[in-house]
Amino acid sequence: MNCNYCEWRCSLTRGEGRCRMYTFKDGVIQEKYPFTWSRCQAEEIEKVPIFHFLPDERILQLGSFNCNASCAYCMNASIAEPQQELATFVLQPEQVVTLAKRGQYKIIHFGINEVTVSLPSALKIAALARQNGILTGCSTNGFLTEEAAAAAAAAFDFFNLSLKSLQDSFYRQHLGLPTVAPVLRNIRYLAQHTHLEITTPITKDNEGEIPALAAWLASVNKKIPWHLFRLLPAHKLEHAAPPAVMTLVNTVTALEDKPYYIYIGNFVGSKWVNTHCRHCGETVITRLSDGACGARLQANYLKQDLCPHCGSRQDIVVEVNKCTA
Amino acid sequence: MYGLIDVGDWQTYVDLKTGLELDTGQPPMLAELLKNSPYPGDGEISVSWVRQTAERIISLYDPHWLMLTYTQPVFAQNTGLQPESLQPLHRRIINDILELCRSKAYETVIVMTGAKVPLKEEIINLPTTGLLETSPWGSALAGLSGAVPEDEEILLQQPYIKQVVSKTDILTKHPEADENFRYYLPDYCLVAADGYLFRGFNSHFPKKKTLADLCAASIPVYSTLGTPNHIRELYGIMKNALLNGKKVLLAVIEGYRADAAVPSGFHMCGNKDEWYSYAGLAQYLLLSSGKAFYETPYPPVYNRTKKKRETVYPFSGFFVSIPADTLGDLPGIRSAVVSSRSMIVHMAANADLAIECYCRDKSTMGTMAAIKQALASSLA
Repeated sequence: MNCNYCEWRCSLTRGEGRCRMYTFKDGVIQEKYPFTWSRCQAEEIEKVPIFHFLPDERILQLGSFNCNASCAYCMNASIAEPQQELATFVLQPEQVVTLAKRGQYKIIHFGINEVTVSLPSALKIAALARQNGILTGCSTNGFLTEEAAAAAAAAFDFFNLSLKSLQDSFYRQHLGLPTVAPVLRNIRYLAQHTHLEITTPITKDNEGEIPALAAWLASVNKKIPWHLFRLLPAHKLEHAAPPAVMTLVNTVTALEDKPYYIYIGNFVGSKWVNTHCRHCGETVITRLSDGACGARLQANYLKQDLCPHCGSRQDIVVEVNKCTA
Repeated sequence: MYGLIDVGDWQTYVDLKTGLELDTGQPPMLAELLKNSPYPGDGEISVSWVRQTAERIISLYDPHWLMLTYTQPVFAQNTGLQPESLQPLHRRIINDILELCRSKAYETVIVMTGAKVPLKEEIINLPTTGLLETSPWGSALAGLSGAVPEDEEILLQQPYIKQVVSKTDILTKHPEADENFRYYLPDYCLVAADGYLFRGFNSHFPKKKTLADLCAASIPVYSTLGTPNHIRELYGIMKNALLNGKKVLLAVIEGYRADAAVPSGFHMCGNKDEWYSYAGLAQYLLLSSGKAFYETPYPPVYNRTKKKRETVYPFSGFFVSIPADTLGDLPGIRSAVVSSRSMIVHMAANADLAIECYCRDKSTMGTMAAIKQALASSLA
C-alpha cells in the first residue's frame, strides 16, 4: 500500500515512509501520531507570512514534527528532522477549537513544519473549525499529491506555499526532493481554488533564479503575493553567508515580468514589507519586520478593500463568509 | 530612544518607540562600531564578543555604569553541555569580567541568574479547564488563564506544583498595580516543585530537556561594593557608588547549576519577594531600577492569549514604556550596556547606549544599538 499524501508515495507495507508519520494498519493508511503537536502558539497572520488575507488577524498556530523534505538550510531542523525525542502533546479537534474560541482566534494555522505529514489531523480540525465559524490555513512545501492538494484546498481557506526553485537539480541537491514538478502543478491548482501566497527562501545558491521565478509566478497569476526571504542558512549550512540585502532589492527592482506584490523580508528592519496599491502606487498597508519570517502590521489604510487614495479594489481578502453548521 | 539595526551587510536607523525609520542619518561612529562588532552566535565564542564590544564602548564613551549580560551558559545547556563543562565556561566568563574591571578600574557586581537543576519531569497538560501558559523555553513558572472556580482545587492537588497564587490575591495585595500588569496577569500563577518544568501554550522549544529552571529563593552574587542580603539592595548600593564618583560594572550571567558549588568569591543572596523568585525581565528591572515585580507594568507570567499587537517599542518584547529611575538614566552618569540577550536589556537598563545581539526564533539576525537621542545628536 502506497501513501497518497505526498509525491514520494512511499510504500507503507514495507515501512513507515520517508516522513515516518504514516503507517498501514487494519487495511488503511493511518497517522502514527494523530493530533500530536510540538507547538501551539499565538501569532499574527502577517508572521506566517500571509499579507493579503484578513490583515492584522491573530492566529492560533499548530505545528507537529518531521518532514517529507530534508532542506540543507532548514531553520526548523530541530522539529523537521529531530535527532532526539521531542516534547509533544495531544490536542484533539474539540480541544483546538475550544482553545481558539477561548482566545478569540478567528483563524487556526498549521505551520512550523510541513502540514502534509499530519494532514489527516489538520483536515479533521479544519472541518470542525469551519463548523464553528473559524477559518484555517496552512504552510506547505507543496510536494503534496494531487488528491491531497485537492482535499487541502477544499478544507483550508489560505495557503502559504514555499517554492524554492524552478530547477529539479536544486530540489534534489538542497531539499532532498526528486523534482519541483508537483510543486508547480499544485501552485497552479491552488491559485485557482483558494487564497495562495508564495514564499521563496533566497540563498546565494538560488538568488540568480529570481527573474525566472518572478516570470513563472506572473504567468500563473500576477496577483499572487510573493515573499522573498533573505534566508539565514541554518542546519547543515549554518556557516554559509546570507544573500546581501541590497542585491535582493536591486534584483527585484530590475524585474520586468513579475507579480504585482513582491515582499523582501526575513531580516529585521526590512523596508520592503509594505503593500502599495498596484493602480496608483500609494501605500495601503505598512508593516514592520521584527526579524524572522513575516512581519507585523503597523497601519492599515484600506477602506474596506479599497485604496484610500484612488478608490480601486485591492487584491486583499478583508472579509470571508464563514460556513457554520 | 533610537535604534541602529545591523544585519551584516545593511543597517537601518529607527525610532525604537514607533519602529519607523528615521530621516536623520545614523551616527557614523555607532555605525562603525556595529559594523566591527558582528554577533558571532550564541556559543562560547560570544563571550569574547561581549568583552571586545565592551572595550570598544569604553574607548568610545567611557561609561561610569557599564552593564554586561551573558547568556552563553543557557544556550550551552540547551544544546546538551554537561555540568563538568559548564564550570569552565562560568570561570571563563567570570575571569573575563574581573580582568575587564581591573584594567578599566570598575567596581564589580556579578549576579548569576537562571538557576537550573536536573529535570524530574515536564508538566505539559493539566486537567484544568483553564489554559496552561509558560515562556517559550518552558519554565518553572506558569500561568493559568480562562480558569473556572473548580480549577483552583485541581491545581492545589497537583504534587508537582509548589505554589498556586491567584490573580485576585496578587491584586488585592497590590491595588496600585499598573494597568498593563493587571491586563496580562493570568488567573493563577503557578510555581513548579523543584526539578519540574512547565510547558504549555506558546512553548517553542521542542527538545526534551534534561534540566529544569528553578525558582531560586537565593542566587550567587559577587560584589566589591559590600555584601547585600537581597538583590533588591544592589540598586541602592550601585547608585551610591556612582554618585560618589566610582565606576561600576554590573554583569549578569544567566544559567547556572543550582546543584553545583558556588563560585569562589560569591555569596548567596536573597532573590525572592513574597511568592515570586526573580527571573528574566522582572529581575533585570529590579537590578536596574530597584523596582519590585509588582511595581512594574510587567507581570511575572503573561496571559499571552490576550497579547495585543505591539504598537509601541516593537523591537523590545513586552515593554510598553521606557522604565524610569534606572541606573542607566542617572543625571550626570554616563551609562552603557553590552548584552548577549535580545530585546530586554536595552530597555530595562535605559542606558545612554546599549549594544545587543538581535536574535529571533533561533536565528541570529545581527545586532542592535539602542541610543538616547541626546547622545545620538552629540555623536552625529
